[in-house]
Amino acid sequence: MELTISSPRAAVTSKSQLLGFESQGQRYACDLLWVKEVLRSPSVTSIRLAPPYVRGVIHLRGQILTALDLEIRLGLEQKTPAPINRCIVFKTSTDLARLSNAPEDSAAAESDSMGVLVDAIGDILPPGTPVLPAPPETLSGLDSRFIEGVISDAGQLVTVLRIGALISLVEPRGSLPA
Amino acid sequence: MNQGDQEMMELFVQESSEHLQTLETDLIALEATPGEGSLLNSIFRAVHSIKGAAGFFGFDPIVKLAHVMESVMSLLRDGQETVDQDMVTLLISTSDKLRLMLAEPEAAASIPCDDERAGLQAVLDSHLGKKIGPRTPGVVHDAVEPAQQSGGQVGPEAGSYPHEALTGFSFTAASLVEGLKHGQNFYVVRINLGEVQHQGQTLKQFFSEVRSIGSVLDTVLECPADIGLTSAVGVVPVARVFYVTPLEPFILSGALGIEGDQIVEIPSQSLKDWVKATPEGVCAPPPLSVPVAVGSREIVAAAKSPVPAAVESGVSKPAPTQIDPKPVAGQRRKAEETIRINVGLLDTLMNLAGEMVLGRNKLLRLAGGGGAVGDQVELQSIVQDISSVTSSLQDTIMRARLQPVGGLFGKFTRIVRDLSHKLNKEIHLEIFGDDVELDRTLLEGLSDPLTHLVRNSIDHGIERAADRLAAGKSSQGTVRLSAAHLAGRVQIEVSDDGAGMDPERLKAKAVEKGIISADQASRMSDNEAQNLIFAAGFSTAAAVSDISGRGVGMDVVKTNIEKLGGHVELDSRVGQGTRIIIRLPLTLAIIPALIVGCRGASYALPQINIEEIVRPGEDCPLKTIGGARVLELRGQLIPVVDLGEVLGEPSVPCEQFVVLLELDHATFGLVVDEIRSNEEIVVKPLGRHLRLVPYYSGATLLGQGEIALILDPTSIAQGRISAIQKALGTSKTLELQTQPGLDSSRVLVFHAGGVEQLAIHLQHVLRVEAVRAEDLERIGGTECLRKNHDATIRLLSLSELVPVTPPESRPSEFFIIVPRPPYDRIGIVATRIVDSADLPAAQIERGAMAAQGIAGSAVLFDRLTLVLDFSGLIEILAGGSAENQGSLVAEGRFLFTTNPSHHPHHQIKQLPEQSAHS
Repeated sequence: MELTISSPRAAVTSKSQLLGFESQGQRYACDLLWVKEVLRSPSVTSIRLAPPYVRGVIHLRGQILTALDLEIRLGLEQKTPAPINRCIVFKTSTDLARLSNAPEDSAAAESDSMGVLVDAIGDILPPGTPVLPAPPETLSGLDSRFIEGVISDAGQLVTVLRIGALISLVEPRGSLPA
Repeated sequence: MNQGDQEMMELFVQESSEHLQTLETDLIALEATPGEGSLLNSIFRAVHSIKGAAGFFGFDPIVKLAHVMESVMSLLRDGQETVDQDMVTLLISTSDKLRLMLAEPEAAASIPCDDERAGLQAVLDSHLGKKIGPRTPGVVHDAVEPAQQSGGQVGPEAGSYPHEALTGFSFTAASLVEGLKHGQNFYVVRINLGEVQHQGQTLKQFFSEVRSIGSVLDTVLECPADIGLTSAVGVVPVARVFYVTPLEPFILSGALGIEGDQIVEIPSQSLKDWVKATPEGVCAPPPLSVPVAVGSREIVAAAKSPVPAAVESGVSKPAPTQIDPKPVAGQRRKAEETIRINVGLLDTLMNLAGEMVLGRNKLLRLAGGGGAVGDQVELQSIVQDISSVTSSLQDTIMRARLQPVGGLFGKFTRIVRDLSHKLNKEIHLEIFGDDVELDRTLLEGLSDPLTHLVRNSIDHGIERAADRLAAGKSSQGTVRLSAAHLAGRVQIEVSDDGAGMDPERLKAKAVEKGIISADQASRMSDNEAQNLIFAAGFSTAAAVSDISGRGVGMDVVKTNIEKLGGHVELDSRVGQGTRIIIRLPLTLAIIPALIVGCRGASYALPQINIEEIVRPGEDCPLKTIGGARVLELRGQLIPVVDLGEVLGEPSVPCEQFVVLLELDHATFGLVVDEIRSNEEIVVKPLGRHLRLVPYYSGATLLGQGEIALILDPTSIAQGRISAIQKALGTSKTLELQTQPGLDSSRVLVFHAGGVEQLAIHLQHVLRVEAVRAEDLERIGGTECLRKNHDATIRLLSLSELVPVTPPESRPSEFFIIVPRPPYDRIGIVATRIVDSADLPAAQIERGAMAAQGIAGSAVLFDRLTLVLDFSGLIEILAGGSAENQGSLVAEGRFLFTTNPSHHPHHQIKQLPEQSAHS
């Protein structure tokens, strides 16, 4: 996510295009530079003993892709397991190395393919969209480590995600000091 | 600098690095066998090539250093100086400096190398001193003195060359022998490079033409400016080529488009005489490059004119062809990032890629066709094509990525040498299996961990010579590096015959460091205690000095190996040494696996660990003893682990199977719900979040695109097996296990074609196989069975070894009894398998029937049965001497001792010398 941050709490604008998507009725967005492709209705094999936020693995052209569950990753209570509809596949370190303007947090990428399961893919937001600071964690219930900020689009709030953090191995929130 | 020059620079750096690598290896080998002619020659050639190439690019500092080194090498090669340790150290340090210079050729001058140069120069000077005494004329290198006095350089006078036209060339007697043997003609050809270019040929084209009809022994370039010629030749460079070819002079002249008077034939007789007089002989250019008559009078005259000091380095540089040596900074890639690939392989890849494009085009056409009737059939054939192309593509690329592990192992000769000198220990490095090929990513990843392990072995493993002698070992310690392919995995082993690690002291240390509690320590097995060194935080400097073993950064080694998808095991015996085994599942390799089902999901178990599959029943019930689940199988209690429980799945009562898995230190059963299939699987790495789960070593794709996880038996066993064994330890069932003779009393009863009924102890038997006579092949009087995946099995008729009646005739189908490893490359012929039976040792009647290979007789199934003595048989086979038993171990470097009361797999003994060096 490439964002110009003038001061920690002030509005910033996104440098590159953002891809909007929807999951469990919520709208999200992420840096389009991170996105490699979107899979339609992939078949996900669940893995025993995997961390709860890992929904399973997907066979993607000979690669084993780890599919993350967005809600659990963000620390939301999941009411019903969402049906698997779309999977946004993120670029690997090899893919990103080919980019001349890789996202700032591209160091988080490794050689393993990662993706996140979502309900629907939305619009692409142009660069320069103003991004507001994220609401405090206590209000939104979202793990702030994964959130860049929010944008307002047609009267709706869109949460902008930090993909680098989302796909990294970070400690579950519970284990962090409050 | 243009693109082409840039590429040449890269090529130069890469080639020179390769030369340096051989140089270093040879130098270390030289230390072990000083005076070895082939090594000296090889070193000389390497230095010479580096010097020549560097001279071409005008890297003077490299040329100068390489030149003195070459001069010293030529003294060594001619036996005028002797190779000792100091000399090798000096040469190695010179080669290090050359390496540094090559890393940054244009900044080579900034690398300080005065010590090395002074050292080498001192050798040259001292040699000069020696030479002042009486000398014997006639040998080439006795004539070098004047040259040395003038320029401190080595090189014979013109008179010492076999022919005067050869003056200035550098060649060895060995290089002439081949041509002489085949009666080829030798020429010195003078080539005007300017004319060549004038005729529209590039120099490269011209020289490749020259090489296509003969071989160039050496080339000397002359700069006309240096010669001082002002007339006909102009200012173009002239090359003189010492050339060997089967062609006659006039044909050669026609073929190369060169005037006949530019070609001088060297009478082969004079070369023969020279070679005979100096079998190890060498001609190197004199410091002053003296051009010689090649037909033209002017040049003869010119030869006498003074030569400027510009050729002082000994390499003549044609001024016009010199390239600007400054490359564009940052553009040059490092040599390690390139890979050399066989051109044939590349062509195959290109072909396959073309096929893929064809296939895609067909598919596109079909997709645009709109569903005609014949489409389905056509689609089938396209898919078939594409699938076969894809597999060949995969296979070819895999082959292209494989590189021999020898390159990696090679660098350890240097490390071992340096460290053993530094630590003042006598250490011998043995390398086995350096031709085993590994994926290059694995090779790269292995380099650091291996260095670490080898260093540890030398530093902490091998004792000082005095301590070794006191412990009754030879003063020279051995570090062994070996690589082998084992069922689709690569096993790399670093072992030493040093002091080993004391588990008790490790435990004490771990408790002290707070890694484990005292309670945990008391429950730990020795092997688990030794594995403590892999624990993070165990590796501190204090731990190393206190513990009679290693421990520096072993957790880092483990992490790195696990990053490659492998794992590390350790086996250490106090006073005997330590073995560290690295097993790498080849990420790209295909491994045979058993697909099992558990709670509806598929899992793959590597075949390498699978011993057998058991369906629990009356004969072999699953029991719970003292809270531990065990399988009673043939009188043994084997701990079992339920896969469902491991994976945290609720237990479902259903028909179950137990897969017996064998690890290095334990055998255990894994309870699964179903056995699905045997498949060759491609190992795919799992993502980082899933690597947190220890039980999976990867994933694979099954036929229908279903994903199966590959289980890691070692992690599953971790902790569980010892817990079960502890639980068993308190109950009376332990007696069952330790009761002597129970396991070893089981025999297999069979007939070998004669009248006798025979029995062999089951503990020696790996498997019984049905064989058809037509599958046998005969090689020199022995019958062999070739296995499609394994090596051959040699058939053994008992009647040839022990006094039993020979079979009258052999049925078309019979059995072979294959003994346990390491003797699994022989098969004892049996015509009928009767059954297995219990035969306590007491019931074997020794005496009447006893002979070598026969333990005695017993009555089994109402018949008198001869009981074979397996170790006796092996002794007969090996010709009576225990030393030769190694020859029966097919590819093994290790001999597994067969301990009758024990599973034979784990005790490893070093082989006698002769097979270790084979």
